[in-house]
Amino acid sequence: MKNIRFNNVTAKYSNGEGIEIANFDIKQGEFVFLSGPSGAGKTTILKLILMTLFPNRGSVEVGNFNSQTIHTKEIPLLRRQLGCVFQDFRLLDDRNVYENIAFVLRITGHREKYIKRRTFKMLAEVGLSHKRNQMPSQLSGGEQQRIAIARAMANDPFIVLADEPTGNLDPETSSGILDLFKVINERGTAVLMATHNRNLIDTFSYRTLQLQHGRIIG
Amino acid sequence: MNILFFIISEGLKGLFRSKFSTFLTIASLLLTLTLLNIYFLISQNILQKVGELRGRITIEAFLEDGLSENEITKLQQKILQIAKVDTAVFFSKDAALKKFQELFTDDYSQMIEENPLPASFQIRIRLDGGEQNTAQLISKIEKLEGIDEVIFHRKLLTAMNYYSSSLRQKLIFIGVGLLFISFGMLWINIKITLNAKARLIETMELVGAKRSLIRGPFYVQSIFEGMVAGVGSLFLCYLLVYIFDLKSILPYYELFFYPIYAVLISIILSFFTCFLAIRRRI
Repeated sequence: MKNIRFNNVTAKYSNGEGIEIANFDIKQGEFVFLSGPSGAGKTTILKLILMTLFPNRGSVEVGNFNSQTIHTKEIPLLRRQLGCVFQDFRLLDDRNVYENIAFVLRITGHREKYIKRRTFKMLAEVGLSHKRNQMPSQLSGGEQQRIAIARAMANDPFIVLADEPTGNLDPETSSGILDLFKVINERGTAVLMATHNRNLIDTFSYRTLQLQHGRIIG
Repeated sequence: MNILFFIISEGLKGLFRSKFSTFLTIASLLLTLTLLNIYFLISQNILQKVGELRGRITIEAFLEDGLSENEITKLQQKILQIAKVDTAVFFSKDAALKKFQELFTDDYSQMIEENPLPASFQIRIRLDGGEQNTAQLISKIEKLEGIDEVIFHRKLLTAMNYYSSSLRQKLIFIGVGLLFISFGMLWINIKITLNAKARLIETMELVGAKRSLIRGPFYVQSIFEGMVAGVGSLFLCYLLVYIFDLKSILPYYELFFYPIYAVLISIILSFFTCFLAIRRRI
């Protein structure tokens, strides 16, 4: 079982923002919302899991890795076990849709045959096989986010981290994206979604970590 | 193997993905390398000319009268054994007189009973050891048994030594300066490219790419850019030589066009600059 565990984590930026004494677990297969206003610490928590930021106090456990003991060289290995979806999609804009998904498989040293099969499977799952040769800039926001989700799922992660994934999308497209996350979760992948969209949280009856001024209040 | 293939193929694709940056890198490399090639061409010609002039300076070692043929041969061998002596050509008394008569058309043989001119060795030395070494060498010749007097153009030799070493230093200084300019131009270019790709690189890191996998394609790209610019600059130099007929002004033009070295310098310069710039950033 691969879990995420925050043990008395305090992580502060130089401007005083961040999170304080956070304690929580996310178990494999769970769907968790991270909720709170801007600057409450949602993105900080995602950064701590991705280990782009390290706690000032306490420790973060992600699967077999611990923020206190992880070596710099192990960080890419940790990130390969996670899937990331961002508000601004963060697709590699110098290559086409197919290459964007294949990239995460190539960096793990998979064989070309497997990469091709897996990439086509992921494209089919998000319903964009026909757009495989297009550049990200030629896609709509919703399509770009679907490709980002396909890329996040390509390496079969145990958790998908989503930072305001519907923040740049209209309500209809957002609903489609959320349905995709629901399907992903139903297959056994945990989802941690940061959002300040109250309606979204209310629509689904998933566990919610409510953040305010860097503290988990519920 | 898959990773190595990935790095090489990403590097090659990178040449076409960021066409403008590739063009800028190759263009700046091409420009500076062409300048470097022309500079080397000119400096090589200057140094060759200086070398030629120095080679023309000979030392005359006059022999005592009455030396036998055997003694002269032994003396010649002793002179040739001295370090930095290239040649020692014997001029007999008769040869000296003949030369004298060629210079002064009057027939002096009628006026004098005996040939007063001494036999000599015309000695050529390598003048790469500075003035002090040349003086030591001449002193060695003077001390040899059978040598009466040594004559040489001390002032000319000193001036030649001074100017050629000063010229060599200046040429090296300019060459190093040009290399630094090339390095600087490439550095700025790579920094601009990296700034433009900062978000791309960050995304690659977030999805689990190791730093070596991000850096690798940049290195491969720099090697290919260096190769293209190196070959291009050679081609450009050949064109310049033929269009402006530089062959007549710079006769030693073949000497510095070692194509493999020129391309190698280009590759090393491109790779080294890229290596340093990327290690600072990623």
